[in-house]
Amino acid sequence: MLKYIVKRLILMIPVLLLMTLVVFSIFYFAPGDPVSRIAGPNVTEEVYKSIQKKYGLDQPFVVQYLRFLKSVAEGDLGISILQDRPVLEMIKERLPVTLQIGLLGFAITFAIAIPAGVAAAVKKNTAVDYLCMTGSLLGIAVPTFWLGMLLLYVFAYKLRWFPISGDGSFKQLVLPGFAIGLTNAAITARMVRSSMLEVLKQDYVRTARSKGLLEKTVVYRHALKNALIPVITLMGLRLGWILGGSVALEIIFSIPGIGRLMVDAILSRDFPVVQGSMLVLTSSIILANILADILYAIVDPRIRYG
Amino acid sequence: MSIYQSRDVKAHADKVWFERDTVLEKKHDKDISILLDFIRKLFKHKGAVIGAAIILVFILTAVFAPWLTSYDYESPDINAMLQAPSWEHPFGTDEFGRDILTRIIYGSRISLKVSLIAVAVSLVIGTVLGALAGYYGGVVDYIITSITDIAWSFPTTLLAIAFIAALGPGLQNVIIAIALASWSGYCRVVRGEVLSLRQREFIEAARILGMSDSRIIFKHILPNALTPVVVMATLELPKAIVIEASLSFLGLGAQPPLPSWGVILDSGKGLIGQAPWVSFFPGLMIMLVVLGFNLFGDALRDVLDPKS
Amino acid sequence: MSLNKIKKPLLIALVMALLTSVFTGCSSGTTDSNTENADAGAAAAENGEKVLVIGFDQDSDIMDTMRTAWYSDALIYIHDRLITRDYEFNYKPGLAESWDVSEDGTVWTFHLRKDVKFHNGKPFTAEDVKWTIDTIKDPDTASPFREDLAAIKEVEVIDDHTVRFILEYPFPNLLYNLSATAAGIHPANAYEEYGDDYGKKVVIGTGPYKLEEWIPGDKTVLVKNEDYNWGPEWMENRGPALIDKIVLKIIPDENSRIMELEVGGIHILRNVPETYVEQLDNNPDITVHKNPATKLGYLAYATDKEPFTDVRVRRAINHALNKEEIIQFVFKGMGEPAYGYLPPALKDEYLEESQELAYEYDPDKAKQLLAEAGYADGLELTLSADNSSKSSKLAEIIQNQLKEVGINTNIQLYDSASYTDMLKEGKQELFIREYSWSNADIIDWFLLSERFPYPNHSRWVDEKTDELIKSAARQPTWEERAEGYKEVQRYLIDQAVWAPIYIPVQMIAVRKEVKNFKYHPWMLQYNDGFDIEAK
Repeated sequence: MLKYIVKRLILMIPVLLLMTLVVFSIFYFAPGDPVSRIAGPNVTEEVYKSIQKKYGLDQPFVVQYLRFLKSVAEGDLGISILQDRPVLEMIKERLPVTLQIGLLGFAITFAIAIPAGVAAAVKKNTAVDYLCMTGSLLGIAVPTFWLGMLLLYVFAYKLRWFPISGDGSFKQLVLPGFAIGLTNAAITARMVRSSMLEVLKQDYVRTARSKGLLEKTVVYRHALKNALIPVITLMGLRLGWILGGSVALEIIFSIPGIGRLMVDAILSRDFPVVQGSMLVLTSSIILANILADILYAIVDPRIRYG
Repeated sequence: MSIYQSRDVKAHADKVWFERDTVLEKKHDKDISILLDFIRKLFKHKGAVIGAAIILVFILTAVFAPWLTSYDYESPDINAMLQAPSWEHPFGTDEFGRDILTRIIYGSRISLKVSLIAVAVSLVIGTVLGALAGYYGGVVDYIITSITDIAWSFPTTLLAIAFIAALGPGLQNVIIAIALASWSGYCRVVRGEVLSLRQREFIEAARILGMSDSRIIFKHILPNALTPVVVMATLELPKAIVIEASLSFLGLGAQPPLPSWGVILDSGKGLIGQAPWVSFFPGLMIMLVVLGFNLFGDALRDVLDPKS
Repeated sequence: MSLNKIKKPLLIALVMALLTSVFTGCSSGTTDSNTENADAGAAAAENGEKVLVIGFDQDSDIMDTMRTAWYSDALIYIHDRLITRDYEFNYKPGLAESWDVSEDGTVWTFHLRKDVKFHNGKPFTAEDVKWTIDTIKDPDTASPFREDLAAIKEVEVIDDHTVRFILEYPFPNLLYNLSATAAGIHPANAYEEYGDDYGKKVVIGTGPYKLEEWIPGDKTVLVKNEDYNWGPEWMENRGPALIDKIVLKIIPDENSRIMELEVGGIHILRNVPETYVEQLDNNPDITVHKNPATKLGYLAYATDKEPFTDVRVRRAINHALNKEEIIQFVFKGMGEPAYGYLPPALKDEYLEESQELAYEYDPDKAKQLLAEAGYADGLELTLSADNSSKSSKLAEIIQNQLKEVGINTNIQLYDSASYTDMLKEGKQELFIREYSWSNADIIDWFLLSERFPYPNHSRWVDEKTDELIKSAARQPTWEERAEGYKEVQRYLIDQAVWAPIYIPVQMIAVRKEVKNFKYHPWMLQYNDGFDIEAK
């Protein structure tokens, strides 16, 4: 097990290197550079070049890339060209709030998806099932940013229950958390349902039933536990979706999270920031996947990793 | 898992030894009967019928757009700015006095185009990579899988934004960006299928018979991995529409005056208080079409997957 | 550990919590400030503080006038400048009590105020002026403002409160450049003293407000400078500001900004889009102040490429545009048609007879001119713009109007970084631009041949223009300079170098809680008697 974890961690490194190289190349060859923002509309070519030189943007590809790798090795993930400070510092400022929204989103997802999915599976082909599944289909079909706009309009603007723009309080997380949670719950509920249906057909559930256990106990103690295994993997993989997928929500709800940091950086071509945050995001996603695998093995003793 | 695999592959594989070519023909005959059976099943499935109906209306709208409306989707009309829905303009008009229904009708062409091309391109990329990874294994597999894992877990919208930054504006680049950002799902599925197929006797047989790798992949492996890919593509089509809308929301989508639904929605987001119809109807249309594709895709999976 | 007994959702929550703590654990400082500052938003100040919240769409990257052209409005209030501009847009003393200019216009002597202190307690002296100017001019600083001060050869400190600028050539526009936000005076040796923190955590000026806190991308909090009593003579309140704190809050989505204004989360919003004006005008809590902006929107073209090399084509394009209609559609009628190359708000340099000289809307004449130039069958061109909602609307209307005269266009919208790059590389044909600049030297930037290819993006290389501009810019006095720029404009109109379209209205929405609001055409002076009810 330990060997397996170590192996996966070591294998991460070349993958991440490759990714930074790809991102770096995209930005190196993409039109536009961060200097146009520093320089503003009215500068001469000469001043423009001097700014480029100051930030080392006149250097050849290899030199610039190696410099980035060096700063990664030094642990600050590169220096933002526009903000002139370590990318790591910027990520530390921005990531917590995004994670908080994600956490709340996950909580809402589970609070809705598990009861709905279980109910739909247990009462298969009844009104309850159809209601849950229609709701879930609609939920999947709503674009998240559109849902966010509507939530903001109704609950923050009309009813004034929540702040319109991020104010640092817990309340600011509620609406974006819901926007993420609802869409995600729609997908998860379907998964819980089908996974439950599968499990309910299994022998051990039948055995449990035949032993005369209460239906409730069978469903919740025995079936649900196993039905959630595939759902856990799905969640592990959706972490990335939640982290970056909240871009539009962070804009709509004025929350300075990592998604906005990245979009701003992409649009202003501040590529060290893009690279650094992609590096952090991908490594957390990979780590989350490894963790999910480990949990998997702990939860389900049948699974063993070599 | 696939139709072929579950019923016929075994028999099929035994014959490869003797009559490679005739088998292909026979398989073709069988295809037709399986297809008929499949269509019958599909018609019994409520979700499939509703989904198909929505998709059909959507496609017909896109094809016959000019015959469905008498308005122009791009010329402004100063006398009709921001009118509420009425008999004349069932969905109201936008800031330029253009009929929103007309714009949505023409917009369906763009949505259809974006989703079809983006999905086709990503399907090709994903399938080829997945087949290579699954078939060759080893280092090739490791590299492709690693990239795929990252691309898959990474938010599609963010990736698409980065690609648009590199490619520049325009509908064409938007489509490419969406395709480049969403191929990973196919790759994973195809790789998995290929891995399981690779060990089967009929592939072994073909290899012993001296077939080339590319022939084995294209003639024998990919057709067998087709089913999950088709299901997946059906479910990816609406995602492309939503991504295009999200990109338009950020000002990076289709170029005006092309009335993509995302562009119409975006133009109405600031009018939510004064003229909610501008953003409501395109939003509703996106929802409907996504719903249609999802219903159909789910039904397809139900029917094709013998497990359920 | 028997995890089997734990509910699985808990495991996922655990993973997430772990990740959260990994990232927050190593940055406890920032998370603390996240929660601590919950009060700094709109609902701030329970202890009777007066807090003004202003909404913005984007934050600046660095809090330093010398290192970026993308500076925060906060710097207007943190720094003072040698010269100020009053409500009528006249140049008035600031940190300089008075100044004399030599006969030939090349030696400027500034007499500085003696009672001024920086936020760090140090007295303000001539050394600080010299250090600021020298730092901007130092190529190692790579200041985007360097070129604006190119006329300055040397800065001499005469005594603690007298400083002399020696110029390369007469340059009356120094008045403008020294009153710009970018010319805010920093304390001497600020970089050495504060190191890496300067422009990030610390920025020191002599202005009416001090930087309390800056969370990039979220908000900037300014607190009033209690010692301030050196406000310029034209201000009603020359002492400390009445409002205790100003919060500059970043709200990226346009719609959210308007909603926040309506619910009272922000008090002042600048650059209100026309779309919302009616809605806000109907709100009794909000007043929208409308004043002509120092901005000008125009359609330009690559004048070194076919068919734009032909003046007849350029004139035809000018004739093809129906400016009133454009303003009606895009700005809901709020805005003035532009005829010349400068906005009327620049009252000294504005060319009064622009409209008579310019090209009236006349599609037939446009077609005729195109036919004369050999394009009777029409033209196929690309029309580029940035991807803001305003520009894309403009592009659509212009596309329609050009179609009327037989010019078919293909719209291409770029994000701002790619747009600049595209213009630099010279890929443009027709393109839409709007400048925001309160000085006639904008013409130098955009049309001198030495600025080719950028910022001279209309690729106008013309000897006569160069001559006219240079002679105007180097007149010894402001009045002669203004006269010179009028001459430049007459020539530019004749040559139809651009197709000027509109002068937008500067719209500032102010909530009723704000007392004694005074409009200033350039920078709102929040310290000049603005007040707000304490919560």
